[in-house]
Amino acid sequence: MSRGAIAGIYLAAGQSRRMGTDKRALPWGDGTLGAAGLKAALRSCLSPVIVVVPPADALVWIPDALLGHDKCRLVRCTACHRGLAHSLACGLRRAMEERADAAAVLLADQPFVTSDTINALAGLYRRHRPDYAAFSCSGVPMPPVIFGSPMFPALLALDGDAGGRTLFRDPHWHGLLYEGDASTGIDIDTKDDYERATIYREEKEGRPHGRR
Amino acid sequence: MAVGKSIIRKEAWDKVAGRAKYTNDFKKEQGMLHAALVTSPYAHARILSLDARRALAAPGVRAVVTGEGLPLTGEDMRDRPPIAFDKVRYYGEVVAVVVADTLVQAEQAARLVRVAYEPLPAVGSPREALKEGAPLLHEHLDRYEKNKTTYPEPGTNVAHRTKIRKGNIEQGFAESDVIVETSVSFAPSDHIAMETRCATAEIWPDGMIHISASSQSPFMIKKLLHTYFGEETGKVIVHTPLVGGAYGGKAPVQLELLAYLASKAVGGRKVSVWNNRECDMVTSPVHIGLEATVKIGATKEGLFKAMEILFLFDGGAYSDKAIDVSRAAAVDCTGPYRVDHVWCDSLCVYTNRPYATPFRSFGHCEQAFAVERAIDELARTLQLDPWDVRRKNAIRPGHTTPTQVRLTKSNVGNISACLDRLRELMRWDEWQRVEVDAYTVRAKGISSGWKTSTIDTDASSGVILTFNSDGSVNVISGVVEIGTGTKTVLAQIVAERLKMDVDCVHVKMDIDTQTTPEHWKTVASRGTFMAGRAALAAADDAIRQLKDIAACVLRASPDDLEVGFGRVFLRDDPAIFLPIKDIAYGYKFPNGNAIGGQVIGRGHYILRHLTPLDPETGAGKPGPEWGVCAEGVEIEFNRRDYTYRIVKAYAVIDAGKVLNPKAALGQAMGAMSMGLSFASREGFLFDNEQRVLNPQLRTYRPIRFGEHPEYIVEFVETPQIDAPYGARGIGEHGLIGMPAALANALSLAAGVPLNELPLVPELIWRTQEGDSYGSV
Repeated sequence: MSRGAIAGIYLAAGQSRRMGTDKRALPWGDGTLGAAGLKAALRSCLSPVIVVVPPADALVWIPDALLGHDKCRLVRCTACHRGLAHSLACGLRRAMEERADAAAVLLADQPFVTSDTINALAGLYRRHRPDYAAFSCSGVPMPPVIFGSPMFPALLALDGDAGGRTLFRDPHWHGLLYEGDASTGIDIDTKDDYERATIYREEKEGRPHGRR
Repeated sequence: MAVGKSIIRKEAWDKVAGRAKYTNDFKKEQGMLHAALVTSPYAHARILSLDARRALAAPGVRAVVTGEGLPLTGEDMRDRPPIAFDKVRYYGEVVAVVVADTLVQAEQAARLVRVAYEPLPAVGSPREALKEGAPLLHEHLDRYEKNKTTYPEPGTNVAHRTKIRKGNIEQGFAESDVIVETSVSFAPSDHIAMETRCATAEIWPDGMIHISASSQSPFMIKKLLHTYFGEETGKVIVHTPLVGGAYGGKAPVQLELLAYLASKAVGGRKVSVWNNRECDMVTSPVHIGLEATVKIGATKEGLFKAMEILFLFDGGAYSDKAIDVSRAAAVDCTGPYRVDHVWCDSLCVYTNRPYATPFRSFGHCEQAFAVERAIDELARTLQLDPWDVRRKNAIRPGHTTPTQVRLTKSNVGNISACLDRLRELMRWDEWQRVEVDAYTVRAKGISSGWKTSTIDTDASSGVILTFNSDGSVNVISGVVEIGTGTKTVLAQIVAERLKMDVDCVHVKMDIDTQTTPEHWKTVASRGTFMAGRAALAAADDAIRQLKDIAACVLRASPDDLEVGFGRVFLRDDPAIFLPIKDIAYGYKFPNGNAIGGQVIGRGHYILRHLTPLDPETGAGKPGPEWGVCAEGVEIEFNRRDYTYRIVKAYAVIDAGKVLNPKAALGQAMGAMSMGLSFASREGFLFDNEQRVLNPQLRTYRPIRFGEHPEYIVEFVETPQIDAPYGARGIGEHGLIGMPAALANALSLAAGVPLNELPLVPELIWRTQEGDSYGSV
């Protein structure tokens, strides 16, 4: 692993509680919802891309082509039921094993994040070397976010469902925020979110959408 | 003939019929481009990069303008990039302007502009900004260009300090039996004019720059395009149609610069920049915030001996007009009272909040809130009647103002008379606080107010009168019709002087700076005074010309002639006359010979003897006269849930001479309602990072229909000898005393000093119950 590499941590170990069904496996264009963001991550400059999943995940949502991608690393996290912080820690430990200098946290339920966005964020991170570089919408930081290695201990110390958000508020850390429009950061938690996002994707792709 | 009558406004029919046109109504032009503003979601952040590639590739996009390489702007001190560069200093600051074929395209593309920010610690209030080690907003304060009367303090967040030193403050306090100190504060708020700010710009191939703007300062736009960008003033033409409310918010020049820059970026094509409500509230300049401490020394009879006043004005991120506002409050810091020993420091402080600009009353409702709350606290301490204390200290001719101007019978209104009348109207002596039932308390509060206008010492105004072939007259003046009815009053003044029917006096409502004589700015309640004097001069000029022509035809000396009733007639025998229509375009003799030509009256007025303030003592003459008012509020307060109802609002204003009673009443009541709305409901809420949480009318809630009290307005008439027919400015006075009067009434009702605005029930509850309830 070369110095300055940014690993991706693709968090796909949530329980889809509010969706009621495994949201990663919902249809999304030609593939699945969970695969959309992963595809973008693998296409981006991030390397490796660590996919954090629950221990017994059958992985039906990941096409073989992505799973077999040479940048893709699968981590089965036994502690994932204890909350987001633990999934993150699983991924982060793997990134540290791979001697990553920074880690980009990506969510499996943000299908509109593109490799361009990730690359732009990585470029900014490399140029300005902040403690973290986060995508933001109306000034609110959200994933994707790149954490520099000095922040790794603080991230590992998080507990329960606490994400990086608690660290953004800490004046000790100096962030860079990459302001973009709301659609890029859309995350899908509920059926309504999913339906709205599907309509939006179809509009974006220029396809007329049937009323559902 | 016309003066003193309630003449209906000249533009009234157009307005009520929906025909009246405002700046944004002219935009449906073929080929005009539209701009959308990309604004900062942070109050303080470094701009690390700005990527407009995707926006530029979006459909219909013609250009994306950024702040790189632009000159700094600002009226007193040039500290503001028209588009933020390198750093943003307030939430909502413009970081890029996207120009596209349609507004929708521009707004869609604006979302594609990618900006990387490094947030910096934000400064939230003037006191915070003055703390040692506070983040500096402007690291290079020493390098900014400024005018001679601006005194920034580099290395701090102080943009300007005005000092007032009159008498000997130590002596004043030594002579006092009691010293009472009161601190007040309120956050910035907004003007909420019905018409949001907008501007269009077009640069013709011959280099002529055409700007249309909803502005109080069309002539200033012309001047500033020269100062900032080196454009020849003769090549800049500014057009201002009717303006849908301004209240000071349209005095500064902001969007006009963006429209100009945008037009330049697209080869001179016409570009419209139009604020949506959210941008209008935070991106464009706001109503200034204040933190103040007032220390009054008085004898036990309540006679003022000394006042020590510290005003910390929240100028926001850029000083622009805030410097002027902070100075205006200092100039009149004591209120309309005789105080021999005065010490005042008024600071315009930088904070990471939207930058400030005048609000109707120009620093005076803010000044009055601080001092009039302090006076009530003093009265309470001394167990004196607050009305009595005010009356006892009322300023009179012969006394001097804080800037040591000696007052005369003409240059100050009669505050004693205003207070006396207020006392009668309010039935002050009958009761001031009554408990109606277990929960309901009624209470009254009062406040005095005064104001002079701190305007440029060389501000001038011009009027041109042209005649029509039917003998009617056109009045052309640079006063912008911002809803005050000034242009109708000018018609009345002209009609009165020419002794003609006001219906025969037509007014040009629009401003076109190429053809309209200049009126400095439509601010400071000086429209009627300055333009009125110019109109009188123009009328006199026209009268002289009419007499000259008539003298020739009638073979009489011009001295023997009079003008009036549509005629020029012999004073000695009015049966010998010429109709004005026969000579307005010159006179044609029966044999075809002609003399004269179109009669064009011209007049101008420049303020006299004004001086800048001495930097150490503040001595100087800042304005021509001091208008005064005494105001009161009656409220009904519910002690159980801390809500209240404003039952009645009173104002007694010295108008000098009421030129148009209904219009004057409208001005006074409108101002009172604004003052009550500001004091009771309006104010921006900021989070810890100084982001505005309520930049929309759903959450920022001005007074609404059905919430108004009964307004009771009367005028006192103490003529200002210099002014047209003695009239004083009255556009602002109705507002000055409202915040303080309301706070005084509520303080009395709730039994605790209420020194913050807006006076929402939660504030009263917090003040009464103590601050033990933390908030987010």
